[in-house]
Amino acid sequence: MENIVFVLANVAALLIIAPIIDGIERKIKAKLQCRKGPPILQTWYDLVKLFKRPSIVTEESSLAYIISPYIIFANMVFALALVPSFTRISLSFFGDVIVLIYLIASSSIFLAIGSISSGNVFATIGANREISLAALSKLLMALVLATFATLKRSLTLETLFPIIPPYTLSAIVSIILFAIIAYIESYKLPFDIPEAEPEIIDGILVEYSGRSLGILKYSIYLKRILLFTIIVYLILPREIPTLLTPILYPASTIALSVTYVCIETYCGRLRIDQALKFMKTLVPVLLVVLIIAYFNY
Amino acid sequence: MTDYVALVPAAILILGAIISSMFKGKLGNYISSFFSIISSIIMCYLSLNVLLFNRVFEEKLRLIPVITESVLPINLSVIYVRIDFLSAFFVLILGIVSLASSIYGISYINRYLHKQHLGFYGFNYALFLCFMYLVFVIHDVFWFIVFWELMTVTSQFLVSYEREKAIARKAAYKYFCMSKGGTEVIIVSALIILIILSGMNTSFDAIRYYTRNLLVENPILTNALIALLFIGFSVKASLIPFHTWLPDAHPEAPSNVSALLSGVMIKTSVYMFFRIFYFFFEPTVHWGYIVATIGTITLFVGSMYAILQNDSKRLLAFSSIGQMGYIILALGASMVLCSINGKEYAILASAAFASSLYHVMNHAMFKSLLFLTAGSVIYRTGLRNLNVLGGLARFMPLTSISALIAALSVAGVPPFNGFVSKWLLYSSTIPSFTILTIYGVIALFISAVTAAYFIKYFTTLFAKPSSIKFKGLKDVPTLMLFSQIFLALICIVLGVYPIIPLTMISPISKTIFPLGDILSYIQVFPGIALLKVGFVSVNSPLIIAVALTLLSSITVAILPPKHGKFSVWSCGVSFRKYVMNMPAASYLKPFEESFSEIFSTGKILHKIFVEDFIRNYLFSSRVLAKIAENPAAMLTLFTLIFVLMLLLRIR
Repeated sequence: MENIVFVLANVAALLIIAPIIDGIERKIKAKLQCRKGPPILQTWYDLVKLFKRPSIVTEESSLAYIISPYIIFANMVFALALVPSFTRISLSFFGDVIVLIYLIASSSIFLAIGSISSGNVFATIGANREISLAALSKLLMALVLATFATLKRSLTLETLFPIIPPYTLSAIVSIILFAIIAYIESYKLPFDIPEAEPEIIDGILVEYSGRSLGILKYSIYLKRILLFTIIVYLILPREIPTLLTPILYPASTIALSVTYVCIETYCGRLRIDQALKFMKTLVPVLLVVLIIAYFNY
Repeated sequence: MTDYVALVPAAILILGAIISSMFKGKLGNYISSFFSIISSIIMCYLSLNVLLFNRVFEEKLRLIPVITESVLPINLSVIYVRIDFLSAFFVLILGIVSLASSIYGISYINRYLHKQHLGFYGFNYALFLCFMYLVFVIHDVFWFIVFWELMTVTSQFLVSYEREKAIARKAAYKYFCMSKGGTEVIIVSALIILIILSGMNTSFDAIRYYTRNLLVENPILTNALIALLFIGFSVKASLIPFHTWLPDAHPEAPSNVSALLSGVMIKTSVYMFFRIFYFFFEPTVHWGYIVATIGTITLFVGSMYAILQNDSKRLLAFSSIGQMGYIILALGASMVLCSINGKEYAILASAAFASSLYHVMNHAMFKSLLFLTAGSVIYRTGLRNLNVLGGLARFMPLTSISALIAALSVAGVPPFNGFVSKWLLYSSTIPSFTILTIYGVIALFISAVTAAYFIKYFTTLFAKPSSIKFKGLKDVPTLMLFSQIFLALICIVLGVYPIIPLTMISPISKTIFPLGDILSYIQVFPGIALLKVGFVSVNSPLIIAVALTLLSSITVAILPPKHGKFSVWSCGVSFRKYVMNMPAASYLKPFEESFSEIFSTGKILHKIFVEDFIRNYLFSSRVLAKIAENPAAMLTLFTLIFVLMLLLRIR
């Protein structure tokens, strides 16, 4: 029973710090661009403001448009319960990694269905980009997952974390590749193609407003922190004392997000075909890593 | 037993077919549908009796009086019907899908009134169901081939039902020729079995007695037999490279018949694959790898080509090929894994076995539902072109919801049924430490591709703005709605309670699966079925469906959506008189282009294996005709065949 309490506490803590991490990123981005930048809690203020406003539905929209933000949010919260964060305790069972991938995938599916249901053609374009990216990144994720499963002979996050102790080539390379995939998945420049603001006026999010928009944005922050958490725990050694985890975990998450934002600031947006091509070049690399992992190197 | 209860559905259907053929108008359809509904209910009753209460039905219908039996060694005068667990599982699927599609047909087929002979439809529809039922329950090779052929004949009449359309006639002709070719191979292998092995004893049990231990005694003959049977049945299962008939044939049939074709008829081959690989012969590793490889190729190619389609039913047909790949991959994986020693592998193997049969059931439900929704759109608009359709969710809310449920089920989104079977497949293949790992990865990727093209299917029909203005459209009549909602509910129930299908698969595994009961290796919870591997944390009766619904309802309760209505934002300019939409042809275009080499390879292979093959075939048949005219050449040919038969006899 106390496990459930710990899991709920973890999820609640993640719900609180996810927008704060985005606030830190915005601050650092501003500093890199020689601006003063908003306060760290600015993302929270934005969200609260959005939650207060009613959302507007279009005349062409259907039920899917209204409910899909809530389903995406639920998917993300549930995915957060599957990963360890401030403590190492999480919902854990054989194959929870696949469920995790499915939850990420189904949030993309609902995002696409919801935004196309708004009836806006820009949303349709954005949704198509979203699906294309999501489908190809599922291939990359599945390959990385297969590498992890081959290295550890398991599909449980409990045993996959951390992947590093055998300091093999395949383990290190697969973590780096997973970090790249996570970067692509977290809608950061140069991969924020589905919601390209100047090009297709926010794409998938164009018709969403008020509460729906707030929930969608919140879900995106949650997705980012979910991916960060996975990367952090792939590296964080198991030997560190339990009491130190609540300090080390947020510190390393913030360090990771700072690294990401530094990359993001110096990038322009890729075209969708360039992004897909880039992702496709990763496939043979991952296959080679998988084969190396098979032979335990 | 003398009450012939297992033959009752077939008798009812034949009666219905004969009566309905007498009426040209609506009555022809109504009578056939009525009899089909009754017999579907009886099928469900019989199969549930078998699966849940372990009662096996067995009948022997004697066609000719007793005297002949002692004279003829071959029991052609007896129709031996036996519903064992494997048959019952497939009969149950047939019963549910045919119930839905018959109810649907009552209203749907009326759109052909004044254009077609409805009695002709009724006759063929009832007979098609009847022969499908008999194919599943017959326990005798000779009658199996007879019913198999009759099933093909009646279904190809249904494919070419709109016979004034040249495309439908052509599709039916292609379907018939290819199925016929497959059957010839089956007949050859059946003859080899009957002549060389079983001594003209045609019942399945007798053949099993002779084939079961054949692998050790005569591996060449066994592998040759399995290869012939596999090729023969993979035509109907539409495995690559014998899939080309399916995308032409399935869309041309009336939609409720397409539902049966895709939902059940292609599963007759899967049924026979289970019979061949688990019932007649022992599962072997190398055949497991071959089957799994073909399954992976099938699921990859079928799903990748589904992205390209802009015709609603053709997209669904390609998706059927892809989903058949999942079933076949799981079958092959289970054969490989159950031949590897070790408890871990036993668990993985039983998960793969369960996944295969579970996906058969799931695919039957959601694919027939998808065909029914495509049919509803045709019923109201007369259109199949995804480029011009759109925005129907406002006019047909219930149809759109059932289509959404079916699409999410195919895509394998958590609380729905496709998730559990696919999940079992991934968790059995990916950690297997064999080449199956990569197959599992491809399957996982293709599941995202499946989601992509079902988003295309759903949104182009129901969500995006249409390029035609529809006025005064209503949702479809009650009977059609009823069967859609019925199947949608089954999709949800099968997803939320995996224990229902898994308890039905468990007796099958007890009888034919070498590792025994699958339920001793799998832990079933609502919404998910876990393998009994490693550590399961305390709070693990995790209920994905319940968790998701709870979480979303909590968020809705805290932040209820408050709405104002507004028109679609179009950069501040009023474009209301123009149609602003994205045609289905441009959906996923960048994704298609990034995989362009696959499609160009497909084009080359099509040229080599289909166009050139047909040309060479015609040439060689001309040469053969020349040989047949020449007695000396014929004599040599017969001698060669005789020598070949002798060689096969050598043990």
